[in-house]
Amino acid sequence: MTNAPMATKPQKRAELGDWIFTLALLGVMIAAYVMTFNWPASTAFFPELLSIAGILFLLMKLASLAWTTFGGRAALGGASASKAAHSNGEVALAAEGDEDQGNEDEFHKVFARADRRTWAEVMGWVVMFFGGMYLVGLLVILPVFIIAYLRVVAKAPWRVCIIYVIGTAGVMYAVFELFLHLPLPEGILFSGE
Amino acid sequence: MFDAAMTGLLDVLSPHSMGLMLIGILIGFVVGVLPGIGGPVAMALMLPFTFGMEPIHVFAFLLGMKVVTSTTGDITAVLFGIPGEATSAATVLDGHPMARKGQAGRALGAVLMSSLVGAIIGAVVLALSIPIIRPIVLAFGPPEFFMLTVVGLIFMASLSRGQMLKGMIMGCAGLLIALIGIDPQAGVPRYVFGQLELWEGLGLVPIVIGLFGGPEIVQLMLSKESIAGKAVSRNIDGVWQGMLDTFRHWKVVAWAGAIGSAIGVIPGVGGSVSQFIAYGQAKQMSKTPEEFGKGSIEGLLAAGGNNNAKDGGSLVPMIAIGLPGSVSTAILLNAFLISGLNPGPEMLTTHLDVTFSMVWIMIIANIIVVILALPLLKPLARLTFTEGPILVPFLLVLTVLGAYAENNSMFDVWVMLGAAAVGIVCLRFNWPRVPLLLGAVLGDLCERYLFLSTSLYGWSWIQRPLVILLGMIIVAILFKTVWDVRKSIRRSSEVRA
Repeated sequence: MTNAPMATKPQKRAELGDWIFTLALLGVMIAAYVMTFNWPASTAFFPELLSIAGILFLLMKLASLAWTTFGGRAALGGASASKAAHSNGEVALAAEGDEDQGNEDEFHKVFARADRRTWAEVMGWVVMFFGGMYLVGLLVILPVFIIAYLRVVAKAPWRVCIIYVIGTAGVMYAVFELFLHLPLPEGILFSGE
Repeated sequence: MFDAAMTGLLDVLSPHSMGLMLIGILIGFVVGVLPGIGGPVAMALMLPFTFGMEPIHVFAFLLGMKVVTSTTGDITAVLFGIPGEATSAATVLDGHPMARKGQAGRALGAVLMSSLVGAIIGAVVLALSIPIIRPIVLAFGPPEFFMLTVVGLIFMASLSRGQMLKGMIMGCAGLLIALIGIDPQAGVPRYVFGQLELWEGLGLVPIVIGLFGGPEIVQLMLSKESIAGKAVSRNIDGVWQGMLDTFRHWKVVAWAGAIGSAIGVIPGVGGSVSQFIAYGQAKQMSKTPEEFGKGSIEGLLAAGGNNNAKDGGSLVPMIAIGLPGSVSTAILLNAFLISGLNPGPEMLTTHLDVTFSMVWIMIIANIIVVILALPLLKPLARLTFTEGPILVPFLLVLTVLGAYAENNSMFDVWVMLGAAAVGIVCLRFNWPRVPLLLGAVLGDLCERYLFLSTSLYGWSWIQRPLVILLGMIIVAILFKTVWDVRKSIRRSSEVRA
């Protein structure tokens, strides 16, 4: 019981995320439905069917979320909310799902625990790699990214970096360009367009 | 028939055939490990090299390559959570959690041996069903195909038993994703927002790689730990244990193989559905269903056993009536025609030895793969203990190549990134990814078969006997799932009380 207040913060954040994701999906489904208005009947039939089903399921989900957030908690208080949740199928299932995700739960924990700075760092590396690939192509950005990432994050010695570059960029060049004659992503700066 | 089987075996064992098969296996091994460049791409690239070859040599080369890519595609799925093809997605569900628990060796051993057993089941089904398959395949029309896709989706919903409503929502979202592009019936663009790249729809491979591989890489970047993390077990020697697990849980593998070969027979539905049906069936049968998704050996064996069995099944309609059920079989059909063979009755009479040679190739190629892969499994398993940051650049390259290589399109790389973002959000807020994927896989088929059913039969198709049977299966699955959920709620209420 003593750690109950600590547990409520991530729980609230998860609930908020659930609300946002559900509402975003509801928006997508409604938009998907509205867009069918201009299509011929045969083209619109299946998307209409799916979007209506999706909207109905999402409304059920919203009702379930509302019950957890306002109804169940208000009636019984935070600690016993999970018990109350058992009176509502999906709420109970969602609560069970949180504990019963196995491998996905490990991912969930890592994503939930990482602070904003760590997320920003990771996103920075991702942007560097994919942005660089878009601009200068895979074969150019790859050695740069490997050396930068291994030196800064993995603290790997130069020898490892060089072997790594040869083992990935070199092998890739040999397999794709020389053996299979398959193109690799070229950057807009070097593609001659 | 026995004579034809023996002639087929001797033809396959000839030095020329075996040499070509080995070359095909080696190419397939390398290509299969790289996500995205799956069996179909490799076969298409190698097809020109088969001009002028004898039919049996052609199949030794191409079919040997094909069956190997199915098996080795599972290796990246287990080790890094990056499935090589959409048909390896179910392998990720339990194979990768096992690797994260430090049991990569056992997982690889299990997936390899179950693939072999599955391939043998598929080959046996192929051999036995050849004389009787024509009426069975022809009994399936669009309504039955439509119902089969619905069975696959409902099975998926039953898998996300902990969060069925979320599963249904994600299934609908996946089906809508599949509708992006030109409507094949009327030629009207749907949900393309003026983007030309969207006219052909979103590629499945980038979606699969992004949904499963993207979160794995970001997780490694955030935690900076190895894939196996702080796993208690560091058992990379568990390869033999994994292989033995295949026989210990032989019923699971046999069922998965039977489901794979049976559904593989049905053109167009294919492995994407059968893997999840086999997985769901194994979960329903299991005494420990709660372990599924956490690294259940039964779940992995079901996915592995199903994977190669479906290949045997998919050859049946191609041989019997010239109806290819997948891209790979369509390329094989090309090889048939190039080498002067006509699918149909003559494959069951004058060319019966060629048909049997295909059965033998499937078995022998898979045995060779197991022998070739065994010494590689330990070093591969060791990769899961490598520091996360060391693996990150390599995994990024794998995902980019996987997404890009299918169409040589940068757009697919952005699709993969978008799918990765969706995968991360799903994991962060506990939304299931698999129904989304299966919806994306099945949407196109589902709509096409529904359209054909209503065009051909109006709504009277729902009265067809096989449709009613499949409908009853759907109701039974839903009923059992709801029943199990109620039981588990009651049990946990009692525990909390």
